[in-house]
Amino acid sequence: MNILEINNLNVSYGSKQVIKNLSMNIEKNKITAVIGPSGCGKSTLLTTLNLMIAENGGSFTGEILFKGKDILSYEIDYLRRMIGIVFQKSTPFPFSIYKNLTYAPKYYGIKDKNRLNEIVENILKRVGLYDEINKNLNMLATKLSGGQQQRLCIGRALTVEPEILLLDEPCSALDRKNTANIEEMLLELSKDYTIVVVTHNLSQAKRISDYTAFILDGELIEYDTTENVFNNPKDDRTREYIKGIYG
Amino acid sequence: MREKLKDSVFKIWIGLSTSLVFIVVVYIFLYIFINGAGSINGEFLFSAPKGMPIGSEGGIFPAIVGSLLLMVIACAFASILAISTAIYLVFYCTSEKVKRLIHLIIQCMSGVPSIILGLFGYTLLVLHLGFGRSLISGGITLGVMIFPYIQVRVEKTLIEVDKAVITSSYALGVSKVYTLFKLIFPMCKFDIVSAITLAGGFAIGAAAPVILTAAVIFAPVPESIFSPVMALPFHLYILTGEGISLEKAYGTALVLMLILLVINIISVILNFTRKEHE
Repeated sequence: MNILEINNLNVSYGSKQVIKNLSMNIEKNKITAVIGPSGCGKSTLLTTLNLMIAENGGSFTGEILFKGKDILSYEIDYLRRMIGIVFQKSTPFPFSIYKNLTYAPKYYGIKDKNRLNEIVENILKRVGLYDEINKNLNMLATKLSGGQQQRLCIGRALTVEPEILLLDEPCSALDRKNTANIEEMLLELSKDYTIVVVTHNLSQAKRISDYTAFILDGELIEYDTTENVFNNPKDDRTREYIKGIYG
Repeated sequence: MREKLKDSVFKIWIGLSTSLVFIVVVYIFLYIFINGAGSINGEFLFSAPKGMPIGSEGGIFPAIVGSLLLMVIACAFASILAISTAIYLVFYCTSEKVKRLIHLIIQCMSGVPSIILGLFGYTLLVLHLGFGRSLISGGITLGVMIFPYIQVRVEKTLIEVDKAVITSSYALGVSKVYTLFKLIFPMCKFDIVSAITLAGGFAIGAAAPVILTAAVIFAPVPESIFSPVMALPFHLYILTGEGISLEKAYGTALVLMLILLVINIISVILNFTRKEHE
């Protein structure tokens, strides 16, 4: 089942067109990787999906359907709640870990202490931080290590119970061990969430994703199961990119 | 060799400048302390001026209370407006033209001499609005004086908040107002309070706006915000200007300086706490 359908999407910042006539469908509860060289429009694609593009001054034409309905027909707050995003640079709020995780639930009207504690505990377990930091919930989130911060940010995006999780190069600033942790976590999360991950790291895409989309200069070159894209690419440009020619 | 020489000359120059400023400040403070400490006692701090001419004996209690109240009103009035203006400029205003216009106005405001602000307060508040010479007239006039000072610092603080953190908040589907009150203000609170306290110090030391709008010679402790007040700088002005008592004048100056010192120390501590938090 397709949770997102993107039809003839064009995105531009002012006069600069970043995404050109892109159409693709995202399947529910799968991990879709988006690969391509720097500046090809991968991140722009992600920020368009939950309309964060508007905050950055971009605009788009074409159609994006979330569960069969145009994303523009949803309240923007609801849409962003349903389609969470985590950025490349981890951005914990400079408060305690607890406050980071209760920030959004409180906004959505959850006031009950026990309920909030439950949410925090569940989230920490989901992102694999529970054993590491459950005794230090009052610690400043900015004092966590890089990998922990990124997991906390993913957790924070999960506190609003989204259906889709967009990740913009979540591991680019992390070492191998932390990357492995996050990959493991994403595989686990994909049972309940649809995940779209932009990555530079081809082996990462290969390891965790079910589908892979290759974008070059704002155009979707190839989109297929990860196995096909990596083992049997149809387009020469994909083959060259995978061999490492575009870098 | 030449560069080395330039380097040492420059070092000596900045060393001398710093020491000079330091010496002057310490000298003023010590001079006032030595001359004023003698007149400071319980009676001086906690009783009203007495004697003939009035002020030659007794204390400065009404002036201390008046000054503190003026400062509180000025800070309250100025900070509400200044913070709102800063929020508008940073988070809501999309037109560069409007932004530039508002910045220009604020710059002009900060350049208005304080005696002119006093005359403005006198005309508008004391006469036209009929507040009379009162705590409220003086407080608002001082508020207008410190408004640009707070606005500029708060705006700078808000601009410095990491954009990515704000975007992460919007990405959770959270509203702008919630983001402002639950994320941005808590992040900036120390800076904002520190800006307000420093501005308060600026307000408490100003004499010119107060003379025309709030102060009546040797007024008692005010009963309401519409009562006239006495303020420390004005008290000092009267004591020396009328040649009433030089000794009491040193005492008054010392009290004023100590209050300013406390305000500045609070501001420094707040700044320090903020750094600790990061």
